[in-house]
Amino acid sequence: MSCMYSFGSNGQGQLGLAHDRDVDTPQRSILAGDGRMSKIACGGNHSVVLMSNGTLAGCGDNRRGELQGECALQQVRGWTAIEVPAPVVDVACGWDTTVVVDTQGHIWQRGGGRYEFEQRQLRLDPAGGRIAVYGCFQNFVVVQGSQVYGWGSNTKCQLQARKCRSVAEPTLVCDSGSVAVDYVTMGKDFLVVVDKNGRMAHASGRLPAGFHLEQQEERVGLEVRCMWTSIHVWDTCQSTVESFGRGTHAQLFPQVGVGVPIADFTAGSEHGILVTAGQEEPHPHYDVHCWGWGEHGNCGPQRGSQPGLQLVGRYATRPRVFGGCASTWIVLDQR
Amino acid sequence: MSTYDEIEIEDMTFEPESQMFTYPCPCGDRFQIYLDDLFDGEKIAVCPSCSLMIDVVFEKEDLAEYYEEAGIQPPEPIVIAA
Repeated sequence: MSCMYSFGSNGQGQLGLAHDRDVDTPQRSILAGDGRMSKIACGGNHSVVLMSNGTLAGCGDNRRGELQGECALQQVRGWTAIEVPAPVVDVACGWDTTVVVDTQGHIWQRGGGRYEFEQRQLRLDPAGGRIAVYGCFQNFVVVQGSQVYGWGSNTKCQLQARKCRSVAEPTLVCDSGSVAVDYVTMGKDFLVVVDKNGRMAHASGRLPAGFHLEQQEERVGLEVRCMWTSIHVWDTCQSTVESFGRGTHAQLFPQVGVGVPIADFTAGSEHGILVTAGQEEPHPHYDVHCWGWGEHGNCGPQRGSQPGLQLVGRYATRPRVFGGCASTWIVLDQR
Repeated sequence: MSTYDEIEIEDMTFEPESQMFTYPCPCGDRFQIYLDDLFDGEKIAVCPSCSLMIDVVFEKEDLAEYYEEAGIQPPEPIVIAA
């Protein structure tokens, strides 16, 4: 069973709480049932949870059909089951859209003014290995093996070299060759492809200031995360985190104050979430910290964009963390 | 004053009925600025829900097509360079 905690921006009920006020400390977000939660995906004002049995639940904004079929239903208050064409293997959200990939390799999209799931033309091979979908803002990509297919906005050439307003259907963005793609991390108008060796295999779009792929291509063992306008690189071999971007609101990773091993990190729209592993006996623990733009309480009670990490929670077991648009999610799995 | 980002006008959404340009804000709301304000030289779009602002990147002559789309005349003629 998974327990979810959420905080931050909640104007459309996207935190899955019983109200729609912003909160600045982790609040229990109650999902019916006792299943294990696989993933939380967040759009501009809606949130979707994928359960390990392939079902989906969502909450928040439905003005553009992000979650439900009724156009009169402007907001989904509290976690509500989302009807899906078939069991889901992965889910991602764009600004006002939701995309799922089902067990048969079909890709379905809703939202953006479409009030039901519509099938994309590409079908992936359900027997061809892991399929994953990633989304941010106006773009989605699906990954299988060494191939990345993307669609959506191409105004910054994030999908293909020839600039155009949008690419309607999944189109090959890159092929990483002999090493399979591990994941894709996406900003507002750029994306970075990371292979199974932890190497950045591809980057395209309006890349943040100071980031040059050719300076990164030889590095391995990297964990890369993107906020909307910045890239953050955790070198797991060197135990360093490097950030690229303007950092006008303290989004760049604070280089001081991390005296314990990093266990995980992720990013929301303009804030980061860091998990550290405290080793002190007899009570080893995990701390969750936030940094960056926290005006909606998504980095904790100190809402200014002050530099440094803000401790938001301490847990006896390793938490999983997810970031949304000015929202932060902490998941604890209970045996 | 430090703006959050610079956004080209072609990347914003124009709503002809309200003559407003909008663009998603990382808080979930949308930055807003009116067409006439851009015509008057204002370049900062603000978010009604937070303190973030963006710099709108445009040339005055870019605005002509939006006045045409809205079906209204600009406050004064826009000179388009040859």
